[in-house]
Amino acid sequence: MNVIETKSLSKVYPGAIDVVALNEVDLVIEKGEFTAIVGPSGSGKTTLLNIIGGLDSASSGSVIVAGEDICTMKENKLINFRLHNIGFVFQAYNLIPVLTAKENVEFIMMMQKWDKQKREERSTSLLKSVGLAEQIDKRPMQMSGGQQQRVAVARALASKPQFVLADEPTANLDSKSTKNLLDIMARLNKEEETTFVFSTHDQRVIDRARRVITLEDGQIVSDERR
Amino acid sequence: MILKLAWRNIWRNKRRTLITATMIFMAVMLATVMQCVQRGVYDRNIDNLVSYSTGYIQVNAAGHHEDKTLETSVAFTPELIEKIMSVEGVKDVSPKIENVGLSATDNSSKETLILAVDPKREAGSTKLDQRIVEGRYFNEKDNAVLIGSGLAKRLNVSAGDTIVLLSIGYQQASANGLFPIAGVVELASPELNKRIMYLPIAAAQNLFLLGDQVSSISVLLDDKLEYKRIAAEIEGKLGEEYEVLHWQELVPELAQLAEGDKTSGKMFMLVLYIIISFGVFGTVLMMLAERKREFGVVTSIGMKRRSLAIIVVLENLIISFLGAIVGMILALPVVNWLHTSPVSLAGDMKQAYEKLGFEPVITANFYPDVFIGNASLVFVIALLLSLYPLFKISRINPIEYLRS
Ligand SMILES: Nc1ncnc2c1ncn2[C@@H]1O[C@H](COP(=O)(O)OP(=O)(O)OP(=O)(O)O)[C@@H](O)[C@H]1O
Ligand SMILES: [Mg+2]
Repeated sequence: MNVIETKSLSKVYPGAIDVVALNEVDLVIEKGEFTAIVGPSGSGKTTLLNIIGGLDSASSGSVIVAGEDICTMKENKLINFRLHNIGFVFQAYNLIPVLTAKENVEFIMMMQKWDKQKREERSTSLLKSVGLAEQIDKRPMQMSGGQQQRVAVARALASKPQFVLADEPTANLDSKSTKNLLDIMARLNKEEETTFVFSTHDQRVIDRARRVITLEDGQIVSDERR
Repeated sequence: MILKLAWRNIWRNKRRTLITATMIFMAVMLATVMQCVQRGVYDRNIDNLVSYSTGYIQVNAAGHHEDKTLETSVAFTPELIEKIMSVEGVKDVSPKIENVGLSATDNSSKETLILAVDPKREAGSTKLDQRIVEGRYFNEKDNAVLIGSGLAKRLNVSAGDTIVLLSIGYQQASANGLFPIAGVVELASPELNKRIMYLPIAAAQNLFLLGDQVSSISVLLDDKLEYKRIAAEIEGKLGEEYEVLHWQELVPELAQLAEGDKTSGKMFMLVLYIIISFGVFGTVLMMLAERKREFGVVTSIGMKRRSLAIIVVLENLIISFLGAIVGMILALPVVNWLHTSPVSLAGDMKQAYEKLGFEPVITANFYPDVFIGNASLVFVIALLLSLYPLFKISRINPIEYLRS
């Protein structure tokens, strides 16, 4: 089953000289994938993830997510669509500073109006599975960068989204935390059958991916499955 | 959840919150105290002037206000008293006879305001007996006078001396008499102090050949603020041959002065609140800049802008609410202190006050409407200042916000 499908997706940033960030990208991501988007700086990784995630609009082409064309959605509908279908992990400072780890994980379920008991169960078990059983009542400030990213992964998974998008999730982490986070993502990918799409520059991270899509100048130059 | 987020956000930058709340409570406190002082000073002086001269409400023979002579005097009869007393909120009635004349000693004479009162009632209503600074208070049967301390000084007389009173009585009869000075009184109003002489009603009726007539009847009220309603009700009970006036009609200059000062007070408040608004707005801008990334994250992961907006507005409202409450609470002891122990003025301020005929003291009264008014004003300002973050939030572009 395709969770993401782009057709001739292009993104042009107009300016004195137009920047073509994405050039006619055709891409299909299937359920359960663990895919890395790689490429040199400025190749369009972030742009691609943003458009797939409904955060940015395409200049032309189409993006079908979970069977729906997100390019034609109105802003409010899009926010709601993101809430229910897509998990996000950003490079850093993902969490709401005034909420504890557990509250951060429950945040999305709360917005989806889950009842309290189900929220508790899910957030506790997720934090346990990312190895933060001891930290559930800590605020982001009291946790290391790696721990914060793990909370962010737990939050992204909280409401069982169609897929999780992670733009350079390990960029700010040391190698130990990087390995740890990748282990967790890989395990959750198996256990929860969550689709992961992440961008990275880090060879060790690339090595863990089961599919590696390489972008250059906004075009897919290689697409390799392992 | 939303409330929890708002509450925690407030305390996340304690210093900023405290600065904002402090600005707000200072404004509320300052404005409240100022207005309570301003109105307090006026009310005290209105009270000084009005209760010692005209009274809050006066019942006269029709036309007396236009032609303040003894020719338009009114009979102080039991039936009339009963009619006035039957209106709710009337505490007592107090007859007055007003006239002008000259008071003289062997070597000087001064223009004098002659005010005849019922000694007992006057003691009860204006506590005139407590104003004695020399000699003694008088009683109904005395044929003696009380003299204002200013007038006593100008005539160089004191209690125990005798004074000559030259005046014109009812129907132009000449009315001259010789009166011992029972006591010297010091009134709060410097203007009255310089010119006033008190006589017992009976002595004055004798002197001016008035019979049972008096110039006017002052009505004493349970609640001074109710003067308008009570005046109207008394008017309704009495016939055409009477006129009923309240203090604003009796001394319109004073009412106008109070109004004028209120306007300048309002201008000051306006400036104060504009300054505060800018200060608070500055912290709002700081808050927005600081939380840009957070706003980007939460809208990206699917938080409705409306929910985010509610949180930010709530934060603003809670802070201003706290500020307003603290401001009101802190204003209370200040107002109370000024109320119980008025501060006497000296120097230029003293002269300025005396020029207005005011007692030169700073005092304050507790006016609930002033407290509530300022607190709600701050609230409205907070709401208005919330419009900007609302506008910003409605236009959040997640990617742009995430980049910061
Ligand atoms: N808002 C924007 N306005 C103009 N040009 C932009 C904008 N965002 C990105 N670009 C341009 O689009 C191109 C692709 O940028 P993008 O951020 O997607 O690259 P990236 O692969 O994520 O790079 P990096 O590895 O450095 O994160 C770049 O040339 C960039 O300069
Ligand atoms: Mg990037």
